[in-house]
Amino acid sequence: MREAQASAVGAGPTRARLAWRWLRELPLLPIAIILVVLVIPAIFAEYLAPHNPYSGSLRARLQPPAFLGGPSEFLLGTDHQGRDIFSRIIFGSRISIAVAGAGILIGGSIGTTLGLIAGYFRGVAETIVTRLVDLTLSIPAILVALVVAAAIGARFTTVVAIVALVLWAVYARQVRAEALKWAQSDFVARARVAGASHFRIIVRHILPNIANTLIVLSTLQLGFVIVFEGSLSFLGVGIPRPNPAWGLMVADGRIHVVSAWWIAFFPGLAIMLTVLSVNMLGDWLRDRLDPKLTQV
Amino acid sequence: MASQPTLRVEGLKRHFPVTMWRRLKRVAAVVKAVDGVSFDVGEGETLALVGESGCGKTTTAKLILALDTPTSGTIRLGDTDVQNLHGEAYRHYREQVQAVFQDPWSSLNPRMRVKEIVSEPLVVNRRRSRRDIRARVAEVLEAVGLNPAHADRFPHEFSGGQRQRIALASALSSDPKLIILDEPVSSLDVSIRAQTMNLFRDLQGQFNVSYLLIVHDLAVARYMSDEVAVMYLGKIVEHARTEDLFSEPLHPYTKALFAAALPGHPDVEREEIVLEGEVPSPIDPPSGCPFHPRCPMKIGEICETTVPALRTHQGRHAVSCHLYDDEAAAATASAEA
Repeated sequence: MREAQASAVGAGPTRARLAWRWLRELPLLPIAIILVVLVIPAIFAEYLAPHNPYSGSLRARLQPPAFLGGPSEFLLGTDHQGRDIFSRIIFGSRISIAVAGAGILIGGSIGTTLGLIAGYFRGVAETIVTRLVDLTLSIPAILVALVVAAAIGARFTTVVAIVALVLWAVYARQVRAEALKWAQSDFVARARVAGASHFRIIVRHILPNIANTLIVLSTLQLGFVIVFEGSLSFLGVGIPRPNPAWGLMVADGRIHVVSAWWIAFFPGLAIMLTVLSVNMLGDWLRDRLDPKLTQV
Repeated sequence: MASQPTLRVEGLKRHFPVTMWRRLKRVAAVVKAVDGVSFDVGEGETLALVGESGCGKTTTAKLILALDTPTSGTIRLGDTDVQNLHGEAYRHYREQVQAVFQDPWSSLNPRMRVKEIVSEPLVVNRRRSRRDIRARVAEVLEAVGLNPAHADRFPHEFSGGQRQRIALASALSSDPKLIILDEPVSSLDVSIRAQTMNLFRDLQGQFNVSYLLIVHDLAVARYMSDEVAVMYLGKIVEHARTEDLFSEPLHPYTKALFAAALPGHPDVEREEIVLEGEVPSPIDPPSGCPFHPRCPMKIGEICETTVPALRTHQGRHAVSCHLYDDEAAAATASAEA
């Protein structure tokens, strides 16, 4: 009987083969775009950028891209201050990653913690958290950003704080629902019978089971945060000048859009490509990591 | 039965307060899920709690597992009262009482390895060396007929029957006195039920553990248990040694349950008792005997007005039915004659 069981268990594909199958199905185009537009420039900005992103020569202002007859040294042309747009986009990827990374990390941690507490302990904690989530989601985030920027000024930290303020509620709502489901599962009951503490049950039993959700949610939020940061910068309440934030570049190019469209166009293209790819990757991850689908 | 029972439950009650709307008025009511249940589970013995869904058997199990607090009544494991356990006593209780749940697909954490699942009752209660834990995991896995080399695998790599063995191995790992088996085989394939039940029985002797078996399948109760208690609407209506109960069921409800179960052989002639109506709501249970509105053997007014006591009849066979109030006396008289 033991042999029969051993062969039944051993019959499935090996872990290495499963990993290979998983790798083969990776969505290569979105990953390639994310790497080329976002990740590689952010890491190697100093080596990749041909010009200083912060200062330009006024003599070289409003030059069209090289492939449209402009000087060959400015691949994507220059802006109204003569700064190289290509270099600025490369350095701008750092800002996007930093804002999105810090915002998701802070907002996600707060939201996940509160969501776990609300979903596991229920009671008063749940009421308070869900009310706060409703409250947060009902406040227009851009308006808050405008008020904050007017009151204490636009800085990197205020942008991150605003992003985290919007995101925590999304995480808390999702995590609460999942924690609620797992808290009623038989394996949590078994763990309680075995004598596990609440902390152990949350950390060892519930959190690992919502890890997939967190990964998918974070990927999908990444696109949102990049657009959100762009919107804030566009409105002038995000990353302050002269930092090369993509949204800020679009805003600065707006007044020249008829005469020098490339100033606004290429940063906008970078935003669009990044967000589109990140969302495609997020959708793919959601399909692959959703436990209900992987069970089949 | 040995001198002191492993588990003694006395007058256990669990009432859930509910609010309902009746003619636009809010009324408070209580659901008497468990309403005055008493029983003992002897050392190394198995007591089966049988009854249809909603009769309170699972609530009883939850109370004993300290997942819920009783409204009143006592649960004693050996010398310890389960209520208000703290610190060392609480840890001890958690080691001594374990459970195997119905669905092996949801009772094992899919993100944990088998060794982590099996060793959980050990790890959370006492500091033990890693080597001790690994040895104990191998020992219990071997005992339930699984290869100890599979301890590093995840639950999804096992079949339903194997998963139930993993759950049992986990329950046995802390060397408990009592394991609550909540419908342990009803979600398994019929083909592996018998071998799983045999395994449960064999390991009971090997580990000297008592079982409280929560089950709706009478055949399982008969095969696994030493004693059977039949529950109806939160009360025990009949309680006897398994062989006595199956050879001569006394309570009309038990008789009806037996009549509803499939016989072992299709040619077996059996009495047909078809109960009328539904199980009454536990929010508004019938007066008198809770079974009287559906009882085919109702004697009369006494059934509607007086709650029958659980009386011992012919030695060790306890039944709560007015039919036997007089008959019990008559039977003793005729036996003497």
